[in-house]
Amino acid sequence: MSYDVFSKKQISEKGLIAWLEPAEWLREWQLHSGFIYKRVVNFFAINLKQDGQVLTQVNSILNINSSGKWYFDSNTKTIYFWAIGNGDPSLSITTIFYRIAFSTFPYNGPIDDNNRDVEYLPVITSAARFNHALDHEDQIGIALSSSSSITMINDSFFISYFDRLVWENKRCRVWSFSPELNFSDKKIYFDGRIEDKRFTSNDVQFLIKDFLAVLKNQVPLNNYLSSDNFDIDNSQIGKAKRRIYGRVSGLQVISLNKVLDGFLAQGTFSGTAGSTTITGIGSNLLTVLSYEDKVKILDKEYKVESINSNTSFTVSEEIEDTFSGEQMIISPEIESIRTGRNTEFLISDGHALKAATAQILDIIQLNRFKLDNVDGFVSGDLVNINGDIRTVVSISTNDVIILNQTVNAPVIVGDFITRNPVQRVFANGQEFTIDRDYSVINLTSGSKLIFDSLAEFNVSRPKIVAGGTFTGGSNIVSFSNINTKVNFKPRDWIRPNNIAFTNWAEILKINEDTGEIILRSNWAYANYSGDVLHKSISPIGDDTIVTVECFGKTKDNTSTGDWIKYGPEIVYDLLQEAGVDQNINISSFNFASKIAPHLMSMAIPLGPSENAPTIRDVIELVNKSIFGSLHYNSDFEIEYSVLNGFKPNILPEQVVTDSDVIDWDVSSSSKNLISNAKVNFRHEDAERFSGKRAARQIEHTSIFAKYVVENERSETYDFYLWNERSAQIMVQRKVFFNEISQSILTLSTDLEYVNKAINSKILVQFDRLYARLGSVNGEDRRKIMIISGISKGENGVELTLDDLGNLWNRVATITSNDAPIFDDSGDERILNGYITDANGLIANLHETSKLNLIG
Amino acid sequence: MAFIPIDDSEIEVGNPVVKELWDKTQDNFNDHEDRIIALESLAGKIILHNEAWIGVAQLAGGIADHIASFEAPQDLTIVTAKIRQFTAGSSGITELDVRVGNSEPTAASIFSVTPKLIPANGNNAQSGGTILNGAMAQGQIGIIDLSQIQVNTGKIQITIIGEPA
Repeated sequence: MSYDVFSKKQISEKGLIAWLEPAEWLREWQLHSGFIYKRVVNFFAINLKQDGQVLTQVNSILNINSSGKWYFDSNTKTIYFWAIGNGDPSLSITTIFYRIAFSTFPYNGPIDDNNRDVEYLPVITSAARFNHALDHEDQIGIALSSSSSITMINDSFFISYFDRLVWENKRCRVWSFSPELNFSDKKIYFDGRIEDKRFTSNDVQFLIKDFLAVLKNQVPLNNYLSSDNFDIDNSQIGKAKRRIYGRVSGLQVISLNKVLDGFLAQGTFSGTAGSTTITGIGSNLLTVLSYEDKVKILDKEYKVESINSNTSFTVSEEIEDTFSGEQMIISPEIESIRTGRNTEFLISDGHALKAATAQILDIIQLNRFKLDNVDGFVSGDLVNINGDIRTVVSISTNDVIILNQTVNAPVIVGDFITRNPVQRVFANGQEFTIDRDYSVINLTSGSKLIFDSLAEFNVSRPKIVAGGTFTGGSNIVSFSNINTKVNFKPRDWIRPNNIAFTNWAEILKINEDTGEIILRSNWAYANYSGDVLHKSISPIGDDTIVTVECFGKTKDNTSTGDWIKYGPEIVYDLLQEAGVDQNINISSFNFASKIAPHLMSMAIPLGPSENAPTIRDVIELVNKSIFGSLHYNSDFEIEYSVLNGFKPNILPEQVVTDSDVIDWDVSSSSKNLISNAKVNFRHEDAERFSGKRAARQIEHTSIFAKYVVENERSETYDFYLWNERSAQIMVQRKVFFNEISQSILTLSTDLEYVNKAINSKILVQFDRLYARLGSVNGEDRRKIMIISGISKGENGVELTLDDLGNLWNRVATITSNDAPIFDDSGDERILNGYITDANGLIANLHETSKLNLIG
Repeated sequence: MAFIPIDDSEIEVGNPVVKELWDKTQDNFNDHEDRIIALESLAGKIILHNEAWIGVAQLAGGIADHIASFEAPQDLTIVTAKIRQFTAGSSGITELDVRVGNSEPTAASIFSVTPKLIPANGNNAQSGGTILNGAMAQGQIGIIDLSQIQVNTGKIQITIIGEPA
């Protein structure tokens, strides 16, 4: 007899069986032979660990042929074990994990997949209802951590073992079962970990939580630590280093070598009491030091008056005490990367950024290449072909990529084209160019941005200033008719505006008295008088916001691994990292990615100086962005679903009718009705010009909600999507779900529906239910609804169903090729989609209005 | 694969939205895309400048500003701008710049990194730099500069090619 047949029987012995898996620390072992020790135990053994390390179970003593292996003789209940290190297992923390079987009725049955039988202890008295529900008010499937409990008679077994075995945090599985069934037909009731236990004179109770409870933990991001030895603000210590998913822009990166209170100068320094000159050995003063910088030597602070050479500078006041070979701290007046500070920025930690790579299969033209794949390449991306940096103009469906410029470097079929992991870098409103202005270190341990010392200079646009005079061999440049103190500053660059002069000179200071410009080094070229080109740099200092546009994490954290692009992939990645690797329905995640292929845009934590969020919080953000849900299926596998308009292929006998339920009722909720929704997407830590948090926004208004429902309410949502097209789809769906009220149907059934799970679709037909939208003459009472909540008990199931604003009545579906033509009386209307006329009607039937929508 | 016509009868009001219809639509889009790519691969090139320059080292000052210019015959994008040295010089740098605009004073360089060659690059070496913005509107002028010239440079080739915008 199958479970389905059994569940429909009016009279049958319905009960529970359970496997609990407590643990025990085994201390006394006897030598069996050689390195193999043995020990008799009281229960069926399923797992053995030595000092936390899982060991290899073999199927006979003969197969214990190396350390770390063990064998369990179920007949004699003896464990044979060759410990790691070849010694006595008593000297290690050797933990055995048992499986003990319980039931509500006397039963002998399997204890493992090898069908080894044991006698079940018939002490189960009851199990609490298992409740699992979606957050249907937001129409977002958020996995709510579920719990249950199992109660057993307190007999001699628990008196002996309640305290002697470790039950906490151990697995517990409960099935709905009957001796009338085959063992393989049992149905999972609950699968989780024991959280608490209770002992009374009459009974023992175990409170069980499901595996998803781990989602309350923080995402295991590394924090900024003092021990990192970065030169960062104290406020950054303890904050999380960031992880990136998908593609992000405006990501604020953290400088790892700030100036802060000053930085150590290169070299050592000496000065004589009474002098104002300080000399250095191994120093590079012309580069790092500037006029009016403050320096500190042996806790004495001086102000820089002039820099004489790389190894000598003058201070504004006399040296009090002679010193020799001392270190010097520089606090620059102008913080610039020319000092060697704020040149290194952390982008991501714990993973490399995805660098898409494709192989060239055909060279159509020197700016057109057929590739073996174009996954991850989009128009506007910067790519690298044998050292040439080019911009992608467009990509075709047959994997041809078109670039903005022909390639100069020799290229042959078989060469590779690589998309740079960092696409754009901004600071002070200016954009920097890869390889010229910055480089990227992209490792599995993390990625960094490294500025070139001339980056500020490179991005500054030159302006023409009239009336300058350069003198060969001199470091003085004079201007006749301009206020140099207003127009120039130290660290700026100038050169003659004449094509004969190609070298630039960096300004050291502006003479306060004469207005002459002092260069850092003498002008080594010919005399010149005339227009001057001036680059006024925007220095990058401690407070400068540097942002990048880059790609995110891959599945294996390398730069070449599979890019984690879509929401279901992000959720799967988080679950794996959290150690939730049991019972994951991987195919559901893959399918969800196929029907929701929306490139995500998310950095966690959401801001540059925040703590790590919980895993649950991140999954919620993903779910909200793509209408996804994480939940258990009927086999207690963790599954991911994306809300969709697919109509189930329901056979007539699968329709839920009055005879299938014990009771039902319908309520309607209008509190979430909106007519307008705004969606913020492609969030940025800092917009390149304003430096403020920003996002793009798209909105949608439902005319039906506005004029028929007469609802003026507007809501704004944050979705973590990259593409505008994805955001457009989602905002339209958000309005679609909320333009009319939802109907919530709760019903009580027997065990027939114990196989149902969250997100299952059901076709209901009740005699007293109201007529369905679209039904002709108001006669059709069938509705497709989705399970948003389920409560399972020993003897029955309660379902909560939601129609999500009549979603499945209103959305068209692609039908099979043999679907019949529209018939105003046909059953197929509820399941199929049809072509309408320009007014959205079929056969001029008013009832067909607002149906068969495509969205 | 040829285009598959969709008959009027397949899209009459009241017809189910069958998979076959969507398959045809998908196939037709793919075919359409393939044809566009094939056409694009034959995209006509617009030769703006493709000349050998002999004796450039003889020009005064070691620089050659505005040695040549051209006018965009139509809206186009410069996709190739490079120099080749048939005979390397003895010292210095040969650097090409191309400026575009409505007039010479307003013309701006198309490069983020200009093409440069040094003697060590050897004979027949070429350099194309990195074009930042090669767009030209019809009627705009392009000006060719040799910002620097190697000492004893022999013959060089300057090639500037555009594609219709």
